Amino acid sequence: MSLLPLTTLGTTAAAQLRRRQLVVISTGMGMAILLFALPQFLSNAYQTKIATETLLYMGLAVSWTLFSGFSGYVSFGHAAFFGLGAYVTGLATQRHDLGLVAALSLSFLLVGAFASAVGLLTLRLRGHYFAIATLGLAEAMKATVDWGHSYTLGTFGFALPIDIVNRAQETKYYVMATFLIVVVAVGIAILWSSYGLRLIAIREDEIAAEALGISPALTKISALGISGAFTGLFGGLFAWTQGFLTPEAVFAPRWSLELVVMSIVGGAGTLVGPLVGGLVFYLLPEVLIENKVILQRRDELYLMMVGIVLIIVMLFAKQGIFGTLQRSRFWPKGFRL
Amino acid sequence: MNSGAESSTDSGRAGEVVLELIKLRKSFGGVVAVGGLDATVHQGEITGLIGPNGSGKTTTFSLITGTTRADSGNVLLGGEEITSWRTHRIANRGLLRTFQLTRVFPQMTVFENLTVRSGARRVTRESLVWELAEIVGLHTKLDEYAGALSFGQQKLLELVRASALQPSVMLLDEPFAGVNETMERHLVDFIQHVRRERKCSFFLIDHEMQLIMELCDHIYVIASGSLICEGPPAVVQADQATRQAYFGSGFIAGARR
Repeated sequence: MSLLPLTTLGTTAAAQLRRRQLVVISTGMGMAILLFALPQFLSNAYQTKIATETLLYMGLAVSWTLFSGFSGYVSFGHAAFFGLGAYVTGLATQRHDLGLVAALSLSFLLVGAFASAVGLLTLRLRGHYFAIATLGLAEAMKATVDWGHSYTLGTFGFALPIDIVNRAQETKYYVMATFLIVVVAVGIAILWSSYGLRLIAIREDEIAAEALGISPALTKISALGISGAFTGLFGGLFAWTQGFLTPEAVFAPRWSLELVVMSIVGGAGTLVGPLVGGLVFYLLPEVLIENKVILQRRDELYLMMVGIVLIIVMLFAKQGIFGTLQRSRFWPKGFRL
Repeated sequence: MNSGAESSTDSGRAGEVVLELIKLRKSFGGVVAVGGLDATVHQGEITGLIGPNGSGKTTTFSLITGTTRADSGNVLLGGEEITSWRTHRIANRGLLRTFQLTRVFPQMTVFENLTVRSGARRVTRESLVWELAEIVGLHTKLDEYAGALSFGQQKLLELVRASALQPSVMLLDEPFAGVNETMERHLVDFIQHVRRERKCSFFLIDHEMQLIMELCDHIYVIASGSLICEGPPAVVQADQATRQAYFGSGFIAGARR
C-alpha cells in the first residue's frame, strides 16, 4: 500500500528535513544578530566581561560536543587542549612577537594536530577505557610546562604583551561571539552531514557501524582533531581575554569536568544542549553572586547545588534539558539539533 | 589461488566462487574453535553453515569479517586475499554481515539507519534502498526510531540496510532466530528477492533446519570446528555423521510440516 511513488519516498523525507533545517538556519541567524546587538543593552564593562566569558564557556562546551557528544566517547582530557591552546597563543605573542590572528590560528592548528595524535594513541580503547586514559592528560601537560620552564616561563605563568591584550571589553566580546558562531556553524554542518551521522552511528553501536563499512578509527580521530582544534582556539581566546595565564589556571582538571557537566545538563549528544548548559552553568553563579546567595564562583554552596542539579538530571531527565525536549513528542523524530 | 575451490566444486555447484575459506584455523587458549576449515560460497547461491552450539559457526563468521584474527588460513573474496583486512575495509569491498542479536542503531530513525552509510543526499537520489524498504513494509516507518521497532522488523531493517549497499556476499548469523513464522516468511522472501534481483550470494547460520533445507543450495556441517559433511540438502540430511552430531537420531526430514 504505497502512498508515494517509489522514487519520491526518500526525496520526500529529505525535502521535509531540508525545510526544517532552513527554519533552524534562519532562526540561528536571527540569534546571531541578537548576539551582536547584546552589548548595546549591557550597562557596564563588567557585564560585558561576564557576557564574554559566558560565550567562552558555551564555545568550549560546543567544541567538546563535536567529539564527545556526537561519538559518545567521553573525554576528560579537554583541559589539556584548552591549556595548550592558551599556551600556544601566549607564547606565540610573548616570545615570538606574533600578532593575535597568527597566534590564534597557530593554537587552532597545533592543538588540532595534538588532539589527533592523542586520538591515534588512545582511540583504540573503547568506551570507558578511553575516558580513563584521558584523565591524566591535563596533569601531564602541566608537568611538561613546569619541566620546560626555561621556555614556558614555568609555574608562575606570564602576562601577554600589553599591546595585544589592551582592547576594549566590547571588542573582546565581538571576537568571542564571532568564534562561538563559527563553532556552532561547524557543529551544525557536522551534525547534519553524513559524517555526523557516522559519528552518531559509532556512538550507537560501533561494531555495527564498522560492519557497515564505516572506519571507526578515521571517524573518531578526525572528530577529536576538530574538537581539539576548537578547544585550543578557545584556550587562546581565554589567554587573550584574561591577559595572563598560569599552568595552574589553564590546565585545571575542572575545565574538563565542567565541560562534561555543562553538556550533560544541557543535553549530551545535541548541539543546543551545550549552549544551554554553558549559559546556565556560567550565568547562574553570577546571578547568585549578584543576589548575595553565594560569595564567589565555585563557592561550596554553589558546587553543592551543581551536584544536586546533576543528580536530578540523571534521575529524571537523563538526556539533559534540551535532550529531553528533543526526545519528547513535540519534537519531530530524528531531527537532530 | 583457486586450488581450494577446485576440490569442493565437484558436486556441480553453479556460478563462480565468490567467497573462499582455505584451511581457516583459530583457537582460543588451546581450545580449537575453527580447525582448518575449507569452504566456498558460489555466485548466486545460498550456502548454509550448520552445526551444534559451540561448533565454531559464529567464530567462522568473525574470522571472515575480520572481527577476529585467524591463526592461519586464508579468506578470499572474489579471488582477492582479505585475510588480515580490517572489518570496515572488508565491508566496503562488498562483504556484509548481519548479527545474531540485531544491531540496528536504536536511537536513529529508520531513515537514518538506511542512509547512514551512503549519506542521505546520495541515497535520496537512488531508489534501491527505498524499493527494498517498501518490499518489507518499512517505508511507512521511516520516521520511527529503530529501537521502537519489533525484533522482527529490526531484523528486516538490518537486512535492508545491508542489501541496499549491494554487497556481493552477505553473511547472516541466525536470521530466523526469535521471530514468528510470518516474519520468517518475510525474511525468506526478502533473502530470495535480493539473491534473485541483486545477484547477491548468502552464507548463513541457523538452527531452523526446515528453513535451511528449503533455502540452501549447499550446506556445510561443522562440529568442534571441523567439517563433518557438506553437500546439497538431500546429501546432508542423509549423512550419518551429521545426524549423530547434530540432528539427533530422531530427525526425519519434513516431519515438522
